[in-house]
Amino acid sequence: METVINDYISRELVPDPALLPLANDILLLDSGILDSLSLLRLVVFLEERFDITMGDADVLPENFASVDAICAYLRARELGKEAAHG
Amino acid sequence: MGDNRMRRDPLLPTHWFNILHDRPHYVTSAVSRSRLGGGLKAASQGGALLQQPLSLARQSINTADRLIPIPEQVLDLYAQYRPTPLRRAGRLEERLDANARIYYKFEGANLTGSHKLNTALPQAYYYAGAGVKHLVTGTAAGQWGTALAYACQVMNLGCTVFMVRSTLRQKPIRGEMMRLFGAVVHESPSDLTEVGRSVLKEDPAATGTQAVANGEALALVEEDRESRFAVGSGENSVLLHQTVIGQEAVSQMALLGEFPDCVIASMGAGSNFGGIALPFLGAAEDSGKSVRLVAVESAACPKLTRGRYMYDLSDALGSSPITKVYSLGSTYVPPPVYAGGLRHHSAGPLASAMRADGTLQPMDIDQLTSFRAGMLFCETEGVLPAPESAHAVAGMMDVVSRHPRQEPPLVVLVNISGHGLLDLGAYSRFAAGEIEPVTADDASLSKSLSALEEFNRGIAEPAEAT
Repeated sequence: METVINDYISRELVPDPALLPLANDILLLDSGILDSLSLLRLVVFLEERFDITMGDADVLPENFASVDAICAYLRARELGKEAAHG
Repeated sequence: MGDNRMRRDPLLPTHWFNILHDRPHYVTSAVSRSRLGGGLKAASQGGALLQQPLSLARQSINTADRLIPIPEQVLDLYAQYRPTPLRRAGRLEERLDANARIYYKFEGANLTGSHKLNTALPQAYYYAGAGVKHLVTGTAAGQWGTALAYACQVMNLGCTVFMVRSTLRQKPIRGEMMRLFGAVVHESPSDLTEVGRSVLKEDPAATGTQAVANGEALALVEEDRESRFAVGSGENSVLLHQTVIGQEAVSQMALLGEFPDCVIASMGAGSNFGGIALPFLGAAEDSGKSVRLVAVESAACPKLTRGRYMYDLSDALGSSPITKVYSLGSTYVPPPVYAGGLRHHSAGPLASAMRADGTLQPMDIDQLTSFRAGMLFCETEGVLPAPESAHAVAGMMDVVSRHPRQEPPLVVLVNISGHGLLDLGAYSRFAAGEIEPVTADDASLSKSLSALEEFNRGIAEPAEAT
């Protein structure tokens, strides 16, 4: 999961090659790598790649702080779904 | 609710027309702050969070759907004032001795007086649905601020408006109207935000700009997570909402057995232009016809005719997305003109892309010429256009005057985006001979363009959005 997300951000959203390779713990929002438009593109990618639908309550800074944070959010979401299905 | 549905006119569109489906290359081209050096790179990160609800933001990048359904609640609200009239300007044709059939679409016949309500209602709907409690915005002429204030009242949202000082002082009744709808209205620049204070420190008599008003609104939003910034033009989603204008007009013209050779609208950042023009672009492509699209800007703020197609900010705080637009530079301060809605320093990304590929033809009109056209339109058609719309009328008259006598009559459609009944003071000044043909301030323009070029140095073109 980390590799898939890191690859997408590196390929599509990191515009400056000087920032590559992208560490999974680099702060995407604080470093300015993600702005409102690239964040939206990332949301659409995650929805399509992981077959999920996100709402406004999902697009929180803590969920998109880094590649690690995005993966943690997706895994927590998956766990919540499994728990709901018993 | 059921009764309202019964009252919907068959001409009222049930979907918005999405040009991004037909032309995906019009998706906004933007760059990240990571490409910038110095202060802007470390500027406020408020823009990194989605200001818009996902449902709304998705509309700005949707290339999959040509038609996007209008929510039922918004349709019921549209039905209160739509469809708007499309009429032939027969007496104007006679007065001009025009070799043309001139039609106009009139968007001023709603409570707030302009086309801005077409996007204020859906925006307030989506924000309310996302749990937002309060919307904050900047407004130039006041049409957008009025429409948003009303829409927020309808959707039980709070509303704060920063209105450009020069226009609020020209027409204080606009501010009164917003307050009547429950909004808090501030003159911009104000001493409420750092953005406003820094402008006032440099020039206590600053007239204000849309960029500063938006910057103040964004600054206020950053202090309150339950508030969001709403924008009245430029964004792709805003143009999308405005396509109800053009879709109705396509149907209304078809009922008359007409298809326009030329569609004309004024250009602030692109919402009323896109609203009427984009559906005709789609209809022309569907039918194999051609249509000429003319955007008329103020000669005081000629971004399409004298600007650069570069990356720029749309607000003075520096937290808005950095998008590729035709711009005079975000530091350009246009001379005060009554068409405050045309004073924005840049066109929106979609209108700019249309200018870049030749789909849109720009024209600039000075203030005096626009008032002459507006008065003539009033005398002949009994409709007083807003100063912004008067620019479109003047542009239309220019197009018609150049059409050769020996050719078949030109069929033109002009969008009257709003009424001028709150601009009577300006029209009175025109009648008294007190209006000047205001054009761009060359010294300010040169300085601002240099700053824009400097801003773009070092920004490499990103990969094209797909």
